[in-house]
Amino acid sequence: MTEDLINGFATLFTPTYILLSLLGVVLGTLIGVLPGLGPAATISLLLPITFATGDPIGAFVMFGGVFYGAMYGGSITSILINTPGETASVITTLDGYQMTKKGRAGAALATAAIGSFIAGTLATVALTMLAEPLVGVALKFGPAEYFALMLMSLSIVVTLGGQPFKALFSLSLGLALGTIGADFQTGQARFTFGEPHLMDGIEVVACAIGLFAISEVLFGFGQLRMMASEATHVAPIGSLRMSKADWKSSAGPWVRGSVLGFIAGVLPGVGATIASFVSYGVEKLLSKEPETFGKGNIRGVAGPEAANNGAMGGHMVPLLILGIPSSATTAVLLAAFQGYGIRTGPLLFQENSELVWTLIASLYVGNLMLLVLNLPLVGIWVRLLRAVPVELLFVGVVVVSVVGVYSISNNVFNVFIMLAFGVCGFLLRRSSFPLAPIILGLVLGPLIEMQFRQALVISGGDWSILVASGLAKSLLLATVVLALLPLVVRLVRSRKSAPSAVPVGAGAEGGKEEV
Amino acid sequence: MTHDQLVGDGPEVVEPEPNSLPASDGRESLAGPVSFWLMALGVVLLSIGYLWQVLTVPEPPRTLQVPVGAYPTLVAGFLIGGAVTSSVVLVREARRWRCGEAPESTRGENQVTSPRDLAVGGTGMIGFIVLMPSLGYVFCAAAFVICVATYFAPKKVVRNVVVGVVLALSTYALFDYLGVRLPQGIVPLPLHEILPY
Repeated sequence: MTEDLINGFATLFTPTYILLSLLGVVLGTLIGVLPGLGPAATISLLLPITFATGDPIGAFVMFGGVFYGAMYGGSITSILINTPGETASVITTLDGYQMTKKGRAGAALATAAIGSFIAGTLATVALTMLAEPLVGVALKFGPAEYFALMLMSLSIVVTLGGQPFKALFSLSLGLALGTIGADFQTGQARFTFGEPHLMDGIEVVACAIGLFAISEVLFGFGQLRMMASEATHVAPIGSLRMSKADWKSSAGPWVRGSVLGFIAGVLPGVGATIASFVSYGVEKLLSKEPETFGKGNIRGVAGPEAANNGAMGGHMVPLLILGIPSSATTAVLLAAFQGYGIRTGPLLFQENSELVWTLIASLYVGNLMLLVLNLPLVGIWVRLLRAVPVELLFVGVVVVSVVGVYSISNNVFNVFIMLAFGVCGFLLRRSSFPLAPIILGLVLGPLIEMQFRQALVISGGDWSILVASGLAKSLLLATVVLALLPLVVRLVRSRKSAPSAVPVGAGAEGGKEEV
Repeated sequence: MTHDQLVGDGPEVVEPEPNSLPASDGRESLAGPVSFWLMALGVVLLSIGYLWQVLTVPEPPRTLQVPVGAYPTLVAGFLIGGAVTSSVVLVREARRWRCGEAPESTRGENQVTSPRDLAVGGTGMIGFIVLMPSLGYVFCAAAFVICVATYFAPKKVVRNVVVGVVLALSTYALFDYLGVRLPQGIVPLPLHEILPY
């Protein structure tokens, strides 16, 4: 492991890869600061360009920078203009913006940056330590175990992501989209409506750009004038130095947020947003002055910012070790691996050791770059936020999206697909359907079907193979428990509230904190 | 809309319209909840349509241990389950909205403060994509940027024209260099034939 990591650093420390890592970090921060694109859409847009260069190591080093940079950039706008760049930074606005209003924006930005660095580094250390033992376990998995594991991942996406019924629809929609195209065993066309471009299935990149970039642009057009007014009112930053009391208050939340974030990141569908909300709740619970939360308490910035970066590191564990994405961005990264013809899963560490360890090394370096570069340069990001006209930003995103998607297969069909997904994404988001499960379903669907059918082919059509091993049984049992969890929770809640519904119910609900 | 808030550097700034509309507000109060009703109907119809398609998938002549339609049938079951349950949730939200309580999903970053701006921007984008194969990438991209940006910032026509033309040409040149031949249309630019790359 140590030797592999050292080799990873050795590969990384060439001018090209260091520059690509720097470019990724800057690009990530940029998309985090500016509205219109998130990391999933940005990586999707970069894919055609990186495919053209034909260097997967360079591409993934850059994607790693984008991955972490976006989260850091998102916190800047949350703190300074009360507008989160990423959903995972929503909770940061509560105390971050209050600190800005009190003239303590510098301290808020500093605690967010240092917390992000600590969490990102700890998460990468955990990934490094866990990689080898987990790969050993994963190599023992057969198709039945993989099928059960993927089912369990999907049930977590549905139950723990909030809005379980809508998440179930989004996920099933993604799985249904994943069935479009030629059947991999027989070549039989399914749901292609005679369209030859659909024989290879729905292009993940076109779908991701449509759902995340185009739908965001549509919302952007609908609220552009309001956004323009917000962007012009950026409060002064003040000193970036943290006082002794700030350091003391931040240390605990940084560590707790890092651990919480990493665990949440490993679980599919939970991710950075929930991690940041849970971290905020934990910090408020542990605080001696919970009433100061929401009024500019530095712990309310330190914890969630560490948590959302910790989650980004956690996302890498199932992606690299099992080949299972746990978020929209990692689903796009999985599509990138597939696009380069790289076999994902535990064999990735054996067959593409150089790529994986260089990527892990780039996460260490990228985190350090974010801390060293972004804290002193925060003023530049603020000026950029003021300078870039939002209307040009949004039309620019559309132009780059169109040309990027066109370049995937040199035809306009995928551009129409992107447009259709953009409109669908807008309508679904407007009705609070989560979008990430669609991408997860689209990417995981064909893999699930393949494992399912391979298991049955091995057993000669005997379905009991799916529950033959203890591991598969346990995973399927966990899937059933997780699937029933929301119903059980709802039942318990309704029973608890039923006897006291008339006198207490309304008041209790009304006074309940959202976090 | 506050017209006196017109700013020279960018779009005309407006205050957000209230999201929770009173139940007695005629057509507008109906528009939001109706969209949720339509969405509920749409997701159910989509799932039924998928099941119908699954049932029409032809099986190959040779016998397989797992039929081609087996996995899609399972997915169709989940899709219908998700569609029905989420439709119930949507209908409940629509009812509450009619009583003046707008759903969380229509607030904050999912808020549409100006449907007209959305319609103009969206139409421009669709026009760009639909016309691109016949009129060409460079022309359509430049026209889209110039028209939409000028709609939002009418005082910055020159800036919008410059940005539109530069953006269209630079992206065209970059992707031409990478070997991607974007639609030529009415402004043919065979850069790969002229430039030595």
